[in-house]
Amino acid sequence: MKNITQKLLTGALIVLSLGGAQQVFAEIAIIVHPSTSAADAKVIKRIFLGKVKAFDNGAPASPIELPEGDAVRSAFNSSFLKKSDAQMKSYWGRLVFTGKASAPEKAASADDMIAKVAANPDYIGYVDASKVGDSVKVVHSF
Amino acid sequence: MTIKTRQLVLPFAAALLAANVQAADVRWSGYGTFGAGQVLDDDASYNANPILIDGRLEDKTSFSVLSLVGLQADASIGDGLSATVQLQATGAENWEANVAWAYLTYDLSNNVKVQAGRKLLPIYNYTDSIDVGYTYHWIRTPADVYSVAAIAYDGINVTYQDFYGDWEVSANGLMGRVEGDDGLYDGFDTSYRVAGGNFEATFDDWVKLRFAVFSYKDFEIAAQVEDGPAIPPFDSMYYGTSLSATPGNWLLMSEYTWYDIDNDNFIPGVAGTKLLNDLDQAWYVSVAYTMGLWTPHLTYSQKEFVDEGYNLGNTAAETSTIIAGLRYDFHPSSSLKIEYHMFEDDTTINGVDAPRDGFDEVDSLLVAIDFVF
Repeated sequence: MKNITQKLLTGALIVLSLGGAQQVFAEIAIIVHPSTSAADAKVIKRIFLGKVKAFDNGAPASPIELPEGDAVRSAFNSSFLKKSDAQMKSYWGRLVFTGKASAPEKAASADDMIAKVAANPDYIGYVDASKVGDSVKVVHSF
Repeated sequence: MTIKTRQLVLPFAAALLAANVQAADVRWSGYGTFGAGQVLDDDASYNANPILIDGRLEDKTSFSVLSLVGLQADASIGDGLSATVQLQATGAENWEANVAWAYLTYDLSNNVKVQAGRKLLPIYNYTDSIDVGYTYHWIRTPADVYSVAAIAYDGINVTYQDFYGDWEVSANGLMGRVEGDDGLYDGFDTSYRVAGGNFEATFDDWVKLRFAVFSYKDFEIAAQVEDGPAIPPFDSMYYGTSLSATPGNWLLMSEYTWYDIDNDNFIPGVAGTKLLNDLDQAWYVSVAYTMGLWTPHLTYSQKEFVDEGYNLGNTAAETSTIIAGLRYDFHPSSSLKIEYHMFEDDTTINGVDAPRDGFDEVDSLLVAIDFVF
């Protein structure tokens, strides 16, 4: 009897933690100004890695990041760019301190990110999908 | 740094800093390493820091040899023009600040940029960011291979970068002059012309090939080899190749480098003579695996040269080092590193064992904290 109770408790804990994990990895939307044309995921990834400086139609593209320590930023780095926060920091260090690229601009918060992207057709950013309104266009979500 | 270079570089740096003050968009960033290290064998020494020729560890704990700080200002002047100044001070040089980099960048297009000023010669894969320990897994890059100390040149370079399908291709061509008494020939005034470039091809962001070639022309050094005759100007060629891959959480890294000195006139009338600290070839392989915040790594490096010159007898130099280390990213902008180095010197002169610094086996322990901001 004691064994069964333990197994049930363990099972319940696993289910709870899986549910929790799903909540942590809420959908992330990559956003641009409504007038900016879409780009495919490969090009978007290259823009966020500082390797491509223009959208598909040639218009300039500048990535914006959420601040360090933001959970959405960590999830974006690991799921979309396939790099840990430390690997991203090393990666940008190599570009910034060697004159190859300048560091991405930072938004202070998700609201600031949306406001900045809504105001400038060059910007491309990312936020928790639930925060997206009409002021920006979603070009990719995951 | 010679007085001449200082006269050239400092006003230039000051002008860039002044430009920074007026520009609307100035970004400050910085980096540093605070490290401690010591050789575990009595009276031995070990070159653990390829950035500086005097970066040697001894049998007393040193807190200065591995330590440095740098501060960078980037000013966007507008219309594709930007200015960058990097000041750096190293513990091994009593924290005296130097202008490590100072250059203007002009973006001709999204794929081509021109830079003019002072930069480092990118002979090796990690030369570009060699001062920024945070950007690689070691405390310092393997000294057997990175034996040509980080050398700054004053000149111009053009870079190109673009994608061809899944391949990212980049190329960099440069020309300029190196002047000063820093670097490999520390304490001796040197002056030479440099030209060359490097080419990189990266497949799908995980396999990278690199090739670099640089020529040094009219290498003048105000020095003599021990009691030998003064050294006349000579030419040399440096080659570097690298293959690396990042499958999943693994990093597989390798470099093979060699150089060649056209030294017919090096010691007049004696063919095949070389400088004391020349090498013919050097290579390393390194493996690292990242598990969350922890990255254990293992490296084997080796360098060798053969000298049939006049002042060393028939020398066959061979050194190798095993580096076992661990990087711990305890903070978003800082990492803690610990390394154990096992150095071995199998150099012979006329077939007799003759380690170049007198020690055939040296073990060292190194600890460092790197940061960027």
